Amino acid sequence: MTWLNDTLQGIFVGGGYALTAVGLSLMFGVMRLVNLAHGDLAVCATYLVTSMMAALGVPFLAALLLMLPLAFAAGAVLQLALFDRALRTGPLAPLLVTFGLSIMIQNLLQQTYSANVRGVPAGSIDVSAAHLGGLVLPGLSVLKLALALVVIGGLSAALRFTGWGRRVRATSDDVAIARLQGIRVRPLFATVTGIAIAAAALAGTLGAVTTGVYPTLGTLTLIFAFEAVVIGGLGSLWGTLLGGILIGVTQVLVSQVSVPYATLASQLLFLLVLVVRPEGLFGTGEAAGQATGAEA
Amino acid sequence: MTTLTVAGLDAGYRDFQALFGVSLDLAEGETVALIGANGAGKSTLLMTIAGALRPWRGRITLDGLDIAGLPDHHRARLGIAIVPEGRRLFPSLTAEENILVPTTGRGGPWSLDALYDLFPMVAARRSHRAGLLSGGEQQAVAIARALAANPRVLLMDEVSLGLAPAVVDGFYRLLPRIQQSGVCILLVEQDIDRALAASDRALCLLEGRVVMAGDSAGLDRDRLISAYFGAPSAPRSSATKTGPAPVPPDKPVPPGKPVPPGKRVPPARPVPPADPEVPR
Ligand SMILES: Nc1ncnc2c1ncn2[C@@H]1O[C@H](COP(=O)(O)OP(=O)(O)O)[C@@H](O)[C@H]1O
Ligand SMILES: [Mg+2]
Repeated sequence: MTWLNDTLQGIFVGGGYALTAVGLSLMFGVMRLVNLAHGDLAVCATYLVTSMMAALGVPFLAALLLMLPLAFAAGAVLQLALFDRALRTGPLAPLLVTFGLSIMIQNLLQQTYSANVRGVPAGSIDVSAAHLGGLVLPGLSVLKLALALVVIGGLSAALRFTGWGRRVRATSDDVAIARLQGIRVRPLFATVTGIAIAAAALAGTLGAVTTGVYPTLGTLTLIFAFEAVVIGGLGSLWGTLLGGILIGVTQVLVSQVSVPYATLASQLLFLLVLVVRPEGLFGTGEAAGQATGAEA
Repeated sequence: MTTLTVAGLDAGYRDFQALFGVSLDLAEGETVALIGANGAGKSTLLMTIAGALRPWRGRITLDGLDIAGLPDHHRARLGIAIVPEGRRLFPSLTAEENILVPTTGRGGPWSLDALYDLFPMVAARRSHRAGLLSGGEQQAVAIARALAANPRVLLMDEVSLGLAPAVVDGFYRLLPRIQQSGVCILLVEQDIDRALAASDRALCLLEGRVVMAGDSAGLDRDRLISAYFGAPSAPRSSATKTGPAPVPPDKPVPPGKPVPPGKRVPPARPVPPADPEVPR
């Protein structure tokens, strides 16, 4: 029964990874942009929530809900002001730009908030665990997994069934031809990045309730998110969920044997997937080179 | 009243100029065929009108409005639609999703139902991924996608490319129905006879310049073929309402095709008016 419970805890942990990673996956899938500042932006949002709680005296949940539209706006502005330009320059520029952004954010946070770990008091939603037989259901972790399911399910449905989603997929297939259909690509990409950053901000802030927050936390956040995306298959949102859960389960199971090896084990899983199935579990290989039409 | 006017258009890629002072106009409801060898600049002209390429010089007006400086998505909203060379569907979208992509906010006769009525074969495959359709089906979707924008001007680039003659015949039989909807068409077609039969007027492009123009019915086919190849005996076109005095085709040489000065060499590949059966 303990291993069953450990697996369950791993799934919860993985839900958090997936919620962080889904934005990374979305941005790569749509724009072929690897955002190396993804984790740092999530950390920024977490600090913003703590600052708003202190300055406005609002509870955690209110600050969290206030922060989300700001995170969306920040993502949209970054896309319009920075990433669009970088994408036009070629595949290397976005990496350099987002890497530079990551370093800038970490240094700014260090200047403003010091390097110390800061707790994130979750107040009313600081959650106790429910028990069900031998299984532990920690409220916050359950919430993160549920949010991951809602965000990924909602995004998948929006991409599949709405006009916005159709335009996003068309643009992802062929930007030049999409523009000729009247699609305004810049605002479209801005919404994509806005959603991606808002989801990361949500995940990062909820995660920090357990771990606390510090300026360089974003690097670790990025690594796990990146691994979840690659394991699941580039550009597949459900794959990213699975990737996150596999990492979480691996870490929790291994940590029962040896805590220091838990992180190493998830890296080994990542390398194993790269060797055995480089396109990822749900990957089709289409992200790397678009499938072209069959001929009559 | 002319719908589309192109005047003195220069365009190209980076430092390579592909179009030299091209002028043409399309009257309301008119179909003009654009004929020329491979590499003559037909696709470049269409992409420049659609806005995928920025013109270097010259004017493009749609219903009197200068659109040369407008971005491509804006031109689409004003009523320019293109069936691009090689179809270029969105492969991961279904056939129907491809047709629903144009977001031009333009009303008109081409509803989804009207398009399915025009192309029953697309209706039958509406929920299939475009990337998995046959070449003919893909071409039908590409035309339907362009029409779905209810354009003023339809630019069609080598609809026949890589398709069996019977399939191409099918498309050209449908062309009158498209023309009757009031759209004007700039039609690129390698098959000269087909092009002349389907159009009101024809232009011949040679190495980026308009070297001949006239009414399709009255054009001398032999002179047109000479113009197509840029043979030394190619007669200069008589002045028409479509633009500038024709320029002797002796200047621009595409890269990788050195031509000794003063000597004209016909373009290497194309043999019109054969039906191209190029596997893609
Ligand atoms: N993307 C490109 N970059 C550079 N040169 C190009 C490009 N596309 C076409 N060209 C050149 O422009 C000229 C005109 O090409 P194009 O418009 O495709 O001719 P056509 O459609 O009449 O066959 C050719 O010399 C071709 O090599
Ligand atoms: Mg061409």
